Amino acid sequence: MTTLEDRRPLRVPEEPPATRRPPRRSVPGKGRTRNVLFALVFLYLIVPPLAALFFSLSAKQYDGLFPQDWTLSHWTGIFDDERLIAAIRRSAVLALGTVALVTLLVLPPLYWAYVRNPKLRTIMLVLALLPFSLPFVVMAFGIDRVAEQVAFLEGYSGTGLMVLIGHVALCFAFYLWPVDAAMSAAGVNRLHEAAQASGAGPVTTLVRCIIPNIMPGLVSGSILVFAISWGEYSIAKIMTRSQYEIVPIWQVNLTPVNGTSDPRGVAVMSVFTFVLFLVVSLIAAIKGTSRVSLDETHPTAAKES
Amino acid sequence: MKSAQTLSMHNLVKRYGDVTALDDVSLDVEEGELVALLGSSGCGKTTLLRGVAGLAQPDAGRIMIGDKDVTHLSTRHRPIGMVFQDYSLFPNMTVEQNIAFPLRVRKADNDAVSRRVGELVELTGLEGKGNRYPNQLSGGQRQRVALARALAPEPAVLLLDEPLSALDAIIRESLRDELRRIQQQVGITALFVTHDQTEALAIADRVAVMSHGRIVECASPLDIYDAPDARFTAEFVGSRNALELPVVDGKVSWEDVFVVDAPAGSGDKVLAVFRSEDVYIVESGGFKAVVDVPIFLGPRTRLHVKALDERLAVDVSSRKAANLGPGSVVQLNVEPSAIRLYPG
Repeated sequence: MTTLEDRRPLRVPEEPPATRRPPRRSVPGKGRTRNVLFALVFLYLIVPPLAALFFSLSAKQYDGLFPQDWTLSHWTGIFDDERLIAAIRRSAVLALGTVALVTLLVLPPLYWAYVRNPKLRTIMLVLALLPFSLPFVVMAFGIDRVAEQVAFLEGYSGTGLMVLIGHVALCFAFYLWPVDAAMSAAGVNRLHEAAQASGAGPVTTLVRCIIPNIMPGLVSGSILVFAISWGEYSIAKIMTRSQYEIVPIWQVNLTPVNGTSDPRGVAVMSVFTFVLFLVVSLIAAIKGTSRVSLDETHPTAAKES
Repeated sequence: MKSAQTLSMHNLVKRYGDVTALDDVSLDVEEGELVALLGSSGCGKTTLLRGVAGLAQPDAGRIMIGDKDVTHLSTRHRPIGMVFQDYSLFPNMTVEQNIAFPLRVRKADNDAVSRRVGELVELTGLEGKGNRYPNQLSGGQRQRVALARALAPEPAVLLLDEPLSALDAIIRESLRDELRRIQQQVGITALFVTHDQTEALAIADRVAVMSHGRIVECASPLDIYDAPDARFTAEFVGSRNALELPVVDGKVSWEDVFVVDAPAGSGDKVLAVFRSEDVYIVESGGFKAVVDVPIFLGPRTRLHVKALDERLAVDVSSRKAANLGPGSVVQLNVEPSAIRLYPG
């Protein structure tokens, strides 16, 4: 048998790489319309958080767009509130727990559905519609009733665990859809077969070949689930009678309707939450697009042997 | 490199509902041999390959690699390497990481992995591209990475599922030759699926022609092209003229053009098949034909002609055909020894 060192490959002509970006053509008039539309959408989205920010920085009641007297006291004082810190901790644990549980409930079965049992995917997609056909209130009462009647959940009724279950049921679809789209786009079947033919087992295949290639879907789904869980009020309110104080319940407790006196604290938390999610989303978006752009503009991509 | 092993498929059956994709298929591939599975879409060739890979479980039959029965082994436990039609590289891994993947999952040590990856990068002509991602490569380069990845764990059998069909014509031809060179250098047993008869005839030691889930004929490329035993092969491979002719007194004739002996056991009719290059233009003494459409193929021109109430294809050198257009009248003859007869 010859040694590999002696083997010189034939030099064959090569076609150009597949991912060369076509030159972008400017279309007269299109740019301005696009910019105006973009500005309108941006204004629509930015005005509420901006108004909340101004309100949180105002020293007293004001008329018009901007406060007459500015203060940072609401921002500096609010994080000394131990109730708020506890609520933030609960909300973070609840949101992260929801992301983790939904990931466990969706990712392995959906992968299995793609590579082995397509009917399972249909069932999952149908199940994902349930939260939209049932009002949250009904779902929360339903879960609560089940908790009261199932032996192993005895004693958990009205606790954070039940809120977690409610959030998982609520967020299932918002995780399933982006992950499903990412799996479909990545060609999970092909990757699975290639990994199997390379000798990889299902766990190695999922961890090393599938997850890295559906990461944009996983990130989108996780951010959505985290955001929904963080901001969800009604389930915790109904299931725990507001006893399990998470950030939205804390915020509602501070509104004038409840006889308290710090609506600006609510504004601070709203702005804080908005900025938190904005930063996380931007990091995720930049990380996602930077990989794509690296691939498409690699300096040696155009050179051929 | 592990020594190549034989691959044997015995009486394989695979059904999808009412459709029989594999109908009692048996085939032996010798050590270091490359057998091409040739057939049109839906003939079962890819199902057979996927059965060998373990990606489709046969309903009946047995698959042996060497002396080991692998019929019920999962894909990852079979000693195979597979190259897919659409490359199926891992987009998140560089060229080197893709090639190293089968070695990493087998927990090979780092030195062995880098040595083997280096060998394969050189073997497949991918020097300098080890750090690129798949979408920074051309189609041909991607397929070479896929080949290197398939060869990395030194499998006993290499399976190639239409590996060239996604490439354009020039690259396809070059890569085809390179594939053959690598297969012969490595000495690996290979099963190659294609619907392109030129590709199959060029690359394979033997060609297995498939139709309706069965292997119709398996022979050397020359025999498949020049002397096919099966009527389906005769009609499927190459450019052929086929005439249904009566058997009279043990003889088969077409007007005054030829008279040949009918094979023993022929019925009332036979199918007389002869290739387009076995019909030639003569100055005189042939039968008259009128050119319908000339098709320029480079060195040769294929003339579609009407003669004796039949339509024939005739291959002539392009120089000879230079002055022939639609309506031109030519005298033709058929080489009698090239005529093959099949039961009608």
